[in-house]
Amino acid sequence: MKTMDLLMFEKHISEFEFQHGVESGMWGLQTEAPAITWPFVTIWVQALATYYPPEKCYLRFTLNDYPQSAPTACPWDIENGTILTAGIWPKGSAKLNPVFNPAWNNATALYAPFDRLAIPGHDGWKTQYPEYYWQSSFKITAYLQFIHRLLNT
Amino acid sequence: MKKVYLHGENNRDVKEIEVAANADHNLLLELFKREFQIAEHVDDYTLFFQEDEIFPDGTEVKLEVEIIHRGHYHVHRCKKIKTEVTYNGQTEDFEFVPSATGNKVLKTVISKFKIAPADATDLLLKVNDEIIFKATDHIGSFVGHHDCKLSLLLVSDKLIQG
Repeated sequence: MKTMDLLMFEKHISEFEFQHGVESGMWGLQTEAPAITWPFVTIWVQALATYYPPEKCYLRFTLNDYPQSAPTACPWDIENGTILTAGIWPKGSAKLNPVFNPAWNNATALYAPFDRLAIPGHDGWKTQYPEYYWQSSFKITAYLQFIHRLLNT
Repeated sequence: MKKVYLHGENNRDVKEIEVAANADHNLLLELFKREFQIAEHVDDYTLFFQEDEIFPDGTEVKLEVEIIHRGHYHVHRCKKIKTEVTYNGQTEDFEFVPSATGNKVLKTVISKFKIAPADATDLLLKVNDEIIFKATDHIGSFVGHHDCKLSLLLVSDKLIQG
């Protein structure tokens, strides 16, 4: 039986906003083996080659209690099924580098107001970044749009 | 049957529905009434194609050839949205149909402010501190029919630090 968090995630990725990103080549679900095991989902986000030469940055999301709880994600090595090696994380712009910072939190998450692991200890983010600070009304596309902008501007 | 997307007045939920390929103006209005629970003043609403055209009364959707609008429609009681955009302390006035997308509004605004393309890639339109006017949003989804106007901010995306 599917849990409510999975049902909500499936609903959100079936909606126009997520599907528009898929059709536009902005992001897509990793659907090849290994199979998705909820609450883990891998989604790639298109990136400028100058920031990330493979141009598809895979993020492994942990989505238990979605969307009541914020997602958390880290760059993922799709071949080896591991967190991406620190030396090849996306980098290159003043706004990108602090978010994709493998030196932070043992490279387990992105440093952003959307991310469950980054939110604790950053109460100021709620007023500093109200448009990004995760709320239960948000959808996965909010996270993806932010990351897509970072990787493409 | 074809998939279409309905955008409504002062409502950011996009409704995805299936309609017959030969659906006409009246059927689409009926679907809007159902999806957005429009029960009163039905005759005050105008149906728009996405971007800048009023959907003519009595016209079939012709979904097979309806590529340019990508199957997106909008109903609103405003014919135009008076829009003021502030950027770096300067404010400019614009007017858009309710079905204008964030993408089109942003391009129009950047052009009017004479911002170089290289400088524009980092810019966002915001409705307020908490709401970003995204590329696929329709401007009418942020506006009620009483005043038919909206104030937007054109800002750089924020640097995350803390």
